[in-house]
Amino acid sequence: MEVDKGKGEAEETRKVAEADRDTVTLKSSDGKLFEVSKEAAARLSTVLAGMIAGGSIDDNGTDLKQIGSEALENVVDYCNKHANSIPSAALISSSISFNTAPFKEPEEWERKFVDRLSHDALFDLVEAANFLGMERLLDVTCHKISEMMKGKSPDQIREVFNIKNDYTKEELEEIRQELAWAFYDD
Amino acid sequence: MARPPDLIDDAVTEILLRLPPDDPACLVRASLVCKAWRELLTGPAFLRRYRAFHGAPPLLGYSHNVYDEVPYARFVAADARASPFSAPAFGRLNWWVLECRHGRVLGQSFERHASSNLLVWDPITGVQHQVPVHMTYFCHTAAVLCGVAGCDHLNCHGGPFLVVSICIPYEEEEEQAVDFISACVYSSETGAWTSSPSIQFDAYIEERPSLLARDALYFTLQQGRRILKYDLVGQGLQVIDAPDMFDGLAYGNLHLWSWQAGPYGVAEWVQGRVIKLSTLLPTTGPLISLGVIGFLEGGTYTIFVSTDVGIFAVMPKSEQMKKVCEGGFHHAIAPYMSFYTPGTGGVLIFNLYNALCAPYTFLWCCFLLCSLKSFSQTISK
Repeated sequence: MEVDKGKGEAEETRKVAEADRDTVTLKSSDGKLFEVSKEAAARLSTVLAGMIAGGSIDDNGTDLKQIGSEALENVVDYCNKHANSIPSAALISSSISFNTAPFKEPEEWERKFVDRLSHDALFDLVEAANFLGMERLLDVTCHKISEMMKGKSPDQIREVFNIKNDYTKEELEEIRQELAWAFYDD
Repeated sequence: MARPPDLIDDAVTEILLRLPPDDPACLVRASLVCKAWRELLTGPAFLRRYRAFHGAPPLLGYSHNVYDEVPYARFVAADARASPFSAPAFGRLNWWVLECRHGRVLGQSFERHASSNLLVWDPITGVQHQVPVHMTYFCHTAAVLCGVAGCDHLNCHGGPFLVVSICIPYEEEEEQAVDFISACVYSSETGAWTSSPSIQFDAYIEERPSLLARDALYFTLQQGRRILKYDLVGQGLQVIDAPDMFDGLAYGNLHLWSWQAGPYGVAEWVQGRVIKLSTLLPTTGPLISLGVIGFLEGGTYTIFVSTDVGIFAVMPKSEQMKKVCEGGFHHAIAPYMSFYTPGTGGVLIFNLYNALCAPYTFLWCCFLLCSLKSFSQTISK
């Protein structure tokens, strides 16, 4: 194909250069820049994949105003680790046989990845993963939080999620009596 | 603890979806966190997603028959600390648990002249349904299943059900010789029995749960040497011979066989894996009193094996096993699988039978049974 050498040449060259790059630059809400493998970003995030395919990636840093720098750093870290890890057979196989649940348990490195996160960082990462359409990261972070809820009373769960109790005392008592079996160690 | 950010609803849903279905107390406690969570957890959209997310329903308990002179719990919750179940309906000594399916437990009474000798009980709602006695047939064994065609068993509690009874005409039974056998089907909707044509029959039926695979129920005959198939669509009975595998078996192994279409479209027995129980079970002594006494339909393919040191759930796929209960003279175990989620105005639950259950599962199990029986025989020699 003959390349247009007219006035759009500079723009064309820039686009070609961008397309040739194997990383994308992401900018957090507080203005910090992070580089991430384009392949990993496109594979792990439906939102970034859409932006890459649609050419809306900014070479100077694509604005992700909803995500703080700590969460974005973790997102990038996860993408890089994921790109370097050898996916297990369980993750490669998408075939669902009659006795396998759709959910796949986190890999060992994924467990370690979320275990080292602070409470706030974990919750921030859930939001970031949800915003970016990162299904696997959402899986891993949500799994970790659901594990944190095991064996906890409603009061303790409220504390974890910073949720205000909007039940009246009477309402709570009524439900608790009805479902007394679920409160065996209170 | 630092203040966590307020999570957007989507993320909360994702987290709650991952609460383990085998610990229903978790979901119930979560529903008491705030009204928004309760609304989310009791909504039909969440229930559908929760079921799809976890695939097969969890094992919430089991019914069992034990040879014992003292009363024992006929229904045992998987988590004894947090049992959401109502009091068992089969506490009396003269009741025998036949099986569990689609959220229901089927029991049989030995009282010959009672108005009902079959009882369908829903452990979660506590509802009992006495099935009227069929006047001209004597029930040998029976199976229960949801009666709604095309049902995904999302929530078939309280809905219509069928009881399939394998029975013989009373006059035959009195003569102590079983030459003919029929399948009679009771519909809870019509409250009436219908019967299929008799077939000639010269075997005895094991008192073990049947297995539903695709559109057929399978009953174990003669220690697994033969299989009785009831076709739910064609409403016909058929006796299938097991392959001759009673000779040359290694002691203490589970032999898996499957019934597969051969090269010319003719189905045949195909020998599968052999699982060495001695390497899985936590005993160094010889394995005695071995028997296959139950299996899971759908879910993680599981076989329940009785030994003198306890009942074990063996997962052939992963070659893992888990102790279910202590030893005893267990005759049969019927696992109860269901989702249990909190609901508005009481308890809303849904149950799923994985319709994709492999059609050959039962056939495998049958052969496990005969393998083990054969081991027992070897030992007694």
